[in-house]
Amino acid sequence: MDILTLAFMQRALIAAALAGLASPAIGTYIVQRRLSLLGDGLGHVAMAGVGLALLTGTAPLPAAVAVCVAGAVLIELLRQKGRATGDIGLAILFYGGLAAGVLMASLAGQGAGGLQSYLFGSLVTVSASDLRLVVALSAVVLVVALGFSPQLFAVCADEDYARTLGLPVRVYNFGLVVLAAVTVTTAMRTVGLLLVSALMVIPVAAAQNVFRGFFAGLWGAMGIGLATALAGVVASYYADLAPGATIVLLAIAVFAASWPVAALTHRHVTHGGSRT
Amino acid sequence: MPLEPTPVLAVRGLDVRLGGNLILDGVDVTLAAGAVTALLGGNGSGKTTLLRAVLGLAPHQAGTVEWFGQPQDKFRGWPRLGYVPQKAAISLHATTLAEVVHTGTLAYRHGAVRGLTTLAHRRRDRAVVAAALDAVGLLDQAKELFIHLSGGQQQRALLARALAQDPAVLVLDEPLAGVDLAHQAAIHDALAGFKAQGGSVLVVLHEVVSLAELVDHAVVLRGGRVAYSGPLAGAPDASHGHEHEPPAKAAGVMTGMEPQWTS
Repeated sequence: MDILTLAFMQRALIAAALAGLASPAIGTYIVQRRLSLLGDGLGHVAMAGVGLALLTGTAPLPAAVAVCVAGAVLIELLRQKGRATGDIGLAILFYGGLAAGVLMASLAGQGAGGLQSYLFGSLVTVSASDLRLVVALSAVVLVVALGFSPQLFAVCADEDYARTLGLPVRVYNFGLVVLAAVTVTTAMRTVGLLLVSALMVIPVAAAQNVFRGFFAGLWGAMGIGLATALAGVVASYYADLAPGATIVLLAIAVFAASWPVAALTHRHVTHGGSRT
Repeated sequence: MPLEPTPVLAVRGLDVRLGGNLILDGVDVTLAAGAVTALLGGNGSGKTTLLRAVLGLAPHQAGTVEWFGQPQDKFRGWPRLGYVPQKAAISLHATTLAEVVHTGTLAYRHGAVRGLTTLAHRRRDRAVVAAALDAVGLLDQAKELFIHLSGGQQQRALLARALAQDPAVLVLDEPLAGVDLAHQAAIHDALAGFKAQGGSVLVVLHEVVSLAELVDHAVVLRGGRVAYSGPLAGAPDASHGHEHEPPAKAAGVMTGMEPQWTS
């Protein structure tokens, strides 16, 4: 296994494993809230951070995290304000972010090719300082997503009821989009900004086919995310494939395989009622 | 008058305006401790808006809402108010019945964000959830998915979620809507048990039928105003005589509760 002796591959595997765990963990709440495409928009916004970093010659990952978190707060403010204007506002924010990022990158002398590793992931680009940041941020995401799971579930499942319990619903709503932004940017190096949303949604959908209930689905989605992220990195190393695309297609394959399981369980429920 | 006990809920002169329309116009409602107050009225009479306003889910423009003698914005006892929304207002996929009910146990936790979940929480919560499911007769279905339950079972599950809070007050929005007679009986029994233990209930009802014997006080809303406040038996439409002919707009809405009231 020479793959484990290469320093850049060790870093890529650790970063991919953390993305594979954190993305579906946050994704489970995002899907319950019916905001499945939030991660995609946040990925677009993060590009502005990458462009800014290239233009100013700073490290891309911290800049992407900062810009994406700011964008997430703006998105949640727009969402709370109301629907009609919020929808157009989101479109402007998403595409404005992507366009600003590409524009700043081209000003910095980077063509579309230079951005490819950020958009679709790359194994060789995870630096040691990147990895330290990814580990720290992923730890925060996982501790909050798992430790506060009953509260986050309550807010995502029935916001009015959560409010009558006296839960600080606004705090949790902002917390969720900020964590989603952090997750998107920490997965940037391995999966890429345009594909990370898939890792937040597809393992969740697959797990809900196989496991019964929200929390079983949460753990199941993390397991599927971890397995496909690691397998995708290894496969892309040996077969020289783009890692982000490999991970996402593997996750879709798992989802496809989970389909018959869902059909079986559903039949069981409708026929059986109570199990004996 | 000698000292009167502080009512659980006192609403005075409440105005609620939504989207420029006056939905509630100077509404007074009182819920006495240990009593069941029913809010009656047709569609659009403002009863659900009144419920949302007293819970702080809809803002009011005039009047006061006091819970246990405390102004609404100073009140800190929210976890002891068990809100049971209409099942139709909730859409939960991939969630088991026990998980839905478990949300109610967050009421026990202290602090602004209610803290990290510990193993002690888990043990205690499991017992509370089982007891709440048992109270509505759904213990056997605990592991079923919420969306696979019948409408009546879903409504009972939302009642169990509120009971898991160990509430002092239940606030229910049309708990009988679209619920068949067997499930109505289960809801009646759970509410009767809650009242017997000293609980107070504010309930919006479209049809009183199976809960009539529990109701101590009825408030009939019509066009956002209180049209009647008093014992259920004296409420307009309570008799078959129709002495108080309701306006045409509200005429059809109370038909559902006529026949069984006197039985």
